[in-house]
Amino acid sequence: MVGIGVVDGIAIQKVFIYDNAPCDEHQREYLGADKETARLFTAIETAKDQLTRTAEKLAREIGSDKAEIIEYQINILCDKVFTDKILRNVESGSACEDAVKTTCTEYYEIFNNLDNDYLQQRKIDIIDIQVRLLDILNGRKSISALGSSTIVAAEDLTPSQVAEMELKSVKGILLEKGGRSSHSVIIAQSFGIPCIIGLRGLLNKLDECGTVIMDGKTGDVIINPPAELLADYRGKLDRETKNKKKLEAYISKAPITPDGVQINVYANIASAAEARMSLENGGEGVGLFRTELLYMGFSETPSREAQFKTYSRIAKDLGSKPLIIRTLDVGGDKEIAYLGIEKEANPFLGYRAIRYCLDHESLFKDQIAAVLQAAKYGNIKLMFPMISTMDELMKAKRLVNETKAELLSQGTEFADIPIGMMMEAPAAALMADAFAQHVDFFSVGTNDLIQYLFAADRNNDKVSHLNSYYHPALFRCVNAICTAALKHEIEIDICGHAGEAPDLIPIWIAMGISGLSVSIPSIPLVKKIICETRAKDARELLDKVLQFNTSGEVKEYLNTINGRMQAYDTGAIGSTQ
Amino acid sequence: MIQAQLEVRNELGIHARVANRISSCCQGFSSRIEAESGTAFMDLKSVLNVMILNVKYGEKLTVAIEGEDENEAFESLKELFDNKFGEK
Repeated sequence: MVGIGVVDGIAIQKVFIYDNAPCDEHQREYLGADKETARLFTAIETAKDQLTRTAEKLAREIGSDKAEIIEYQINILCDKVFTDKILRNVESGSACEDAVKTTCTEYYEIFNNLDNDYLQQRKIDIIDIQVRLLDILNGRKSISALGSSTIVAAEDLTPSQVAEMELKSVKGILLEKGGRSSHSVIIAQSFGIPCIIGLRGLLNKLDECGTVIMDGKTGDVIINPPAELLADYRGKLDRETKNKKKLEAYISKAPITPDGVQINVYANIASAAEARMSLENGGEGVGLFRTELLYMGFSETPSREAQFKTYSRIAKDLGSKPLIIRTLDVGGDKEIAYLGIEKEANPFLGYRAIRYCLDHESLFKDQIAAVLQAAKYGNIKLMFPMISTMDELMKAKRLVNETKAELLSQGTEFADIPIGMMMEAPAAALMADAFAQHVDFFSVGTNDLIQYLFAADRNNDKVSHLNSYYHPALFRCVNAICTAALKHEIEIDICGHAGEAPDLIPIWIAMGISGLSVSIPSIPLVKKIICETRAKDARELLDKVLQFNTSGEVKEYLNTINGRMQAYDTGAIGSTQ
Repeated sequence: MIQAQLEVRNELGIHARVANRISSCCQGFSSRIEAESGTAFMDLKSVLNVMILNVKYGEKLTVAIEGEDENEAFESLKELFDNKFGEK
C-alpha cells in the first residue's frame, strides 16, 4: 500500500503493532479470588517496571535529574492503602479490571473535589495508572517494551507515547493517521527515522511475524514481500547507507559558498540527547530548541530547577556555539493535558504559544528565569513563538525585564541574553520592518508561515496540496522579512522544513539569511549544498523565481536549470505541489 | 505514642515531590504513623493519603506515631518538615 512519505529512508524489519485505542468495557468472568489476586499483582509489578524504564529513559534523554511525577506514580503503585482497596474489591467478587476501575474512580472523585487547583489536576495520575493497569490486564503491549530493531505501526502516536519509545530500536514509523508536521513526525525527522503517514486500514493488514519493507521517499509499504523485491530493497538500503557515508566528509567542513558567503548551519532539537547528536553531525549550534517536550514528558509543569538543569547542560555541551531556546509553543497540534487548554474548533488559530504564555505569567516567568540563569553557562538566546502583534512582543519583553529584576533582588545569578522572535504569522511578516527595531534576531518558521499564508491547515490531507514551499508567495514573504532584517542589521535564520529543502537552499542564501536551522540528519547535506552554491548564481535564481506565478513553474524551473538538484532530493517532507 | 504538630513551611505546600518524600520517609519505620484529618486518622505511609490531606503553606498537621521506633520516626519526620522538604 502507499501512504504519504514524510521522512526519507528505507527500512526492512518486523513490525511492532501498537494498538492504542481505549480498551473495551466488556465484562469478564470472575476467575476466583486467588487467580484474580495473582493477576492483579503481576499487573502492578509490570506497571512499575514500565514506569521505572520510562523514568530512566527521560532522565537520560531530557537530561533532568529524574522525572518526579513518574516516581510519584510508581509510589502510588507501591501504596498499600491503594492496592489494598483494589484487593478488597477483588476478594468480594470483582474481576481485576472492575476492581481497578472502582478504586481509581473513587480516588479520581476525591482529587476532583479538593479545593486546590494543583491537587485537582493531579487526578491525571489516577487516570494514567488506571489506563496502564487495564492495558496490561488486557494483554496489550507497552510501547516502552519494543524489541530491538522494529518498525512501529500505530493509528497515531501522542507525544508522551513517543517519549516512552526507545528511539534507538525504532527503524521506521508507519501511521494510519498523522500529520506532516505533527509532533511524532518532527521527532522522527530529528532522529532520521523513516516515516510514512496516512496509511488507512494498515493495522488490519499487518501481522507481527512477517517482514515489512517501507520506503519513506515514495510512501510505499510492502507487507510480506517476495524474495526478489526484498533483494531489490536490500540493495537500495545498502546504497542509501553508502551515500550517507559519503556525506560524512562534510561534517567537519565550514559551510561557506565558493564566493565566500558564510551560512551557519544549526540544528532543530527537542532534548539534550539531540544537542549532542547535532554536534556529532557537524551542527554549529542549535537554531531552535523546542521546549515543548520538556513539558510533554511530564504530567505537570517542569520546575524552574528542572528546566535550568536541562538548559544549562545543553548550553555547556554546545560551548560557545549558540543555543536558541524557544519559549513554550503549546496549542495547535501540541496538547499538554495538565495545562487544561480547552478543545477549540481551530486550534492553529487559537489559544497557543505566546498567547497562552502571556496569560500565564508565572509559568512563563519560570521558563524565562531558567533560561536567564542557564545563560551563564553558554551562548543562549531567547525566542518567542507566534508573535503576531507588537503589543505581544512588548509584553513578552516586559516580562523578561520583570524576571531579571526579580532574580536580581533574590541575588540569583543570571546573564543578559539576545531576544528574538519567530516569524510565522503573516501579520508579523508584513510588519517585519517595525519588529526588526525591537529584537536581536528573526527566525522564520516556514511550517506555520506557509499554513497561515495559504490559510490551509497543515494537518488536513484534503488541503495539503496548498501547503507548498515552492510557491512564489512564500519567497516574496520571506524575502520581505530578510530585507527588513538586513536593513536593521539583525540576524535572520530559517528553521522550518523549507529551510532544508535542497533545491531551495540557494534561494535562501540569495536572500541574505545568516543561518539555516535544520533537522539533525540533514546537516551534512545542507553543508554540502552551501559549499557548492555560488551566491552570485543564487541571486540570479532568486530574481527569476520571484517572477513566477505558481509553485509548478518554480519546481519545473528548478528541475531544468539544475539536474543535479534532483540528486539531492531528500524526499517528500512538505514537497507536495 | 507521640502526638505532635508539624507545620508545612515550603511555599508550594504539599505536592507530588513532597508527598513522595513524606511517604517514603514514613515507610522506613515500623511504627504506625498517622495524621489527623477532620475526625479521621490517615496513614502517612500512603502517598495518596499525603496528597489528599491537602495541607497548604503555613498549615499544621497533627501526627500520631506509635511503635518501637516512634522516636526515630518522629525525629526524621520533623527534620523533613523543618527543612521545608529541601525547597524554598
